[in-house]
Amino acid sequence: MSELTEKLKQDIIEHLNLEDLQPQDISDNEPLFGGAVGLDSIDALELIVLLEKNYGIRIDNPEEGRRVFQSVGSMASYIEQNRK
Amino acid sequence: MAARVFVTGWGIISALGRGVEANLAALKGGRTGIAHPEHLKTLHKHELVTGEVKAANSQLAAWAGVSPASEISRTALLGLLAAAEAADSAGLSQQELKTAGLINGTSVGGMDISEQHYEALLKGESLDYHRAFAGHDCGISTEFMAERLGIKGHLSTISTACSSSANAIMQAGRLIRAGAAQRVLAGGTDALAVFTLNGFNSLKILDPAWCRPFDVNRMGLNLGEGAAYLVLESEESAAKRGAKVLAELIGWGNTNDAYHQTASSPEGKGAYLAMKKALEVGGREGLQIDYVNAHGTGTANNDLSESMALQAMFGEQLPDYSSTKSYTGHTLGAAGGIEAVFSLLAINHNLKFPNLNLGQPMDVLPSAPLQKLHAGSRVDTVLSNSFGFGGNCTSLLFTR
Amino acid sequence: MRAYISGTSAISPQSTFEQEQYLQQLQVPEQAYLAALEPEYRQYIDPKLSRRMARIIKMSIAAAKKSLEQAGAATEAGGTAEAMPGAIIVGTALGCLQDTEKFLAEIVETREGLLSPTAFIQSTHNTIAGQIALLLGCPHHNFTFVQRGFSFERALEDALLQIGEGVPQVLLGGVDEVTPTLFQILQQLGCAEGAVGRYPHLQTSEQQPAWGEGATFFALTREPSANALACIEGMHTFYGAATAREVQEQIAAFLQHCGMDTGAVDALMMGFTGNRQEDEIYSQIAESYFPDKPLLGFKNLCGEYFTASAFGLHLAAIMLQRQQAFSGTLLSGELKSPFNNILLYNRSQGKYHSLMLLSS
Repeated sequence: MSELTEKLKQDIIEHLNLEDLQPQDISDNEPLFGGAVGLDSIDALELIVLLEKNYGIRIDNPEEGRRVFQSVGSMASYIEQNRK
Repeated sequence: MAARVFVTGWGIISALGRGVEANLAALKGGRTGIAHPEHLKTLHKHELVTGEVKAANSQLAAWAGVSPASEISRTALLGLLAAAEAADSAGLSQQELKTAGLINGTSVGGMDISEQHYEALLKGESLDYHRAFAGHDCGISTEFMAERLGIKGHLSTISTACSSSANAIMQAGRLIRAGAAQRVLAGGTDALAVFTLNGFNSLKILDPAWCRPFDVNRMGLNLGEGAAYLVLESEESAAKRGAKVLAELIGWGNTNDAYHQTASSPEGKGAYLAMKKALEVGGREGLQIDYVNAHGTGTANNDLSESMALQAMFGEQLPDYSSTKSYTGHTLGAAGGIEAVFSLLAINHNLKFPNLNLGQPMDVLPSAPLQKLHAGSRVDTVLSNSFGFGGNCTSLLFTR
Repeated sequence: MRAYISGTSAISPQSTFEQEQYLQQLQVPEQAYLAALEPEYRQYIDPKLSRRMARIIKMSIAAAKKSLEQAGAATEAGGTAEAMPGAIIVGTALGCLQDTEKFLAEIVETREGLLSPTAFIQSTHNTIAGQIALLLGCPHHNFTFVQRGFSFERALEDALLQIGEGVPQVLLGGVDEVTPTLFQILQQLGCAEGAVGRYPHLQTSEQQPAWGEGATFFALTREPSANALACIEGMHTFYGAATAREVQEQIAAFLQHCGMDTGAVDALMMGFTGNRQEDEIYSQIAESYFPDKPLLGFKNLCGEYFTASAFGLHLAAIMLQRQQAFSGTLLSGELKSPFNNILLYNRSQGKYHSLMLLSS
């Protein structure tokens, strides 16, 4: 799990071009939206692309995305549960 | 004394048909033009519906008297057809056209052609660059139309996403009011493109089924295409020619929501300010608005935001309103022009058009959008809204 | 309608962004086109906000902010507060090419598959003006003009209309970018040729112009401020093929409209590109109608592009303010101080003609 969260943090920083952040700056349960990381609705769409491209997991409903993308931790659990 | 701005001609092509009469008939008959695309070369054509103009490029070229061998973008062909109708309906002579201006609004320009050649470009395959890319930019569509119509006056193209043609009409109004122009064709054109279809799809705001603006269960918009232009003239110019006046453009407002790149603010600040400004520019105390042709795309975000703006603007005195995007789809840069023609049809035929596909209306506003054609009661004043990416909000105010 | 240039900033292929080094050392092109010298953006844009921005947007925001800062300093006696403009108006013929190309390439690569929305969102022409509004929180008039060689001129015209309608301050920009793909297409279309060895010191040849880029912004004000660089006395455009004589007739009428005699023009700035055919009309006008006037160029510094006239206007304003010509700008004659006005004539594609008169 921690390997996955580390990889996810790296992926997020890269995909969203968060050049001022390091993986250690994002804790597993920190909110990605609205908090210090400060992602917005365009990032939510980009995260859907990231999940499908890098993890083969498809989210069709942006509302579902909101729930999944609460934190790196919630993303990791979702990936664990849905990985084929 | 600032010059008054009269509308003396109109022309349109949309999913509802070619020409003002065909569009009026479809609006009155409650017939949508939205269907699975037949001409757009997209892999999504079986999954998505669009407001496509039901004619191939070769047909459009034939109608416009353009050689089918010349690869002219669909955007420019649609534009030429609608603008020619507008000039014709205004009864403008060749000489009168020569001194007229053309202010065009478009967001995709010649993308429908260039996107078909982009793969060859990436692969370094042999390519006729002239055919592929010479017509790509927005300005060349306007140049082409002006040259075909014999227009030699003021030439301009505005590209502000989905408010482009509303802004073109507004700009013509401002130039005429300031005495800087006498006669201007203004409106806009946009063709469906694989680029925009996939773009909106990536934003997850396309409803795969027929769009339902202002419905609680709305799922997004349908893209459309088309073109529409008005002939706008100073009072003096219209009087000199003895032109028939269709309506007067009395107000306009362009504002920026300054909230988000694509989404509207929850309270609809930009939309509210645009409507307010249009009424201020209109400058008539106690003016009653008979009908609002809303932007109403069918996305969760726009329709809520616009409803909040209408609420802030009108409160309990909310005029009848509807979105005609359920007929035409969202025609992007052409939407302001197309809906300006619909607004003028409302005034000239005392009609208010319904919102199609409405199941359960949103309950933000004191009343639901119109669900049936309203005929018979006078329509003297119409407000038409067009909003776009980048927070761009425009409102136009027409009166009899 | 006239307007005062109370602030202006250009990111161009030359060192024009930093005031202290303004055109001190001319850049010699090392690649096929003249690429803009970009500053460190951190000072102008929060990295959190800039992370999605393509370079054309970053260039524009930096130049826009600097123009407003200058104007703010001018109106508030030493203060640096940016007064909120009453309108943001941008001319850009080709818009945000980098993002357009990126999204097109993704469509090809994925076969209309799963696509990142960011490039699409930022591909629209009004991204530049929209982003500036978002950053400033500016709720006012926000227009983008895209008419090839008139893109900047239409934006300037709109700015003058705004000022005529009573708006005290307008933020105005002329922006275009060049990408390797654009240059390849222009080359294939016979519109541009390589820049190496030809610029910045103008050499006339049969070669097509070298292509350039830049973001040039102005804070225009209705009232003259103490630090205003120059005054735009007027702008005029005409479209279509025209002989030197016809252009001169337009110049004469334009100057008369501005209340000025042809003889009172102190200097002439024109869009010489180095292409013999393109430049012929400029030479004819200079020789026949302004034989003893100093002749200035600007496209040898910024390259040819559809909104290059914005850079010409910027350069002319700086010259009037500093009362000097810069290395590479004086093509003939002598620019003697004091000079009080510069007439700018630009032609694009042989048919987009524009005239601007600038006074100190």
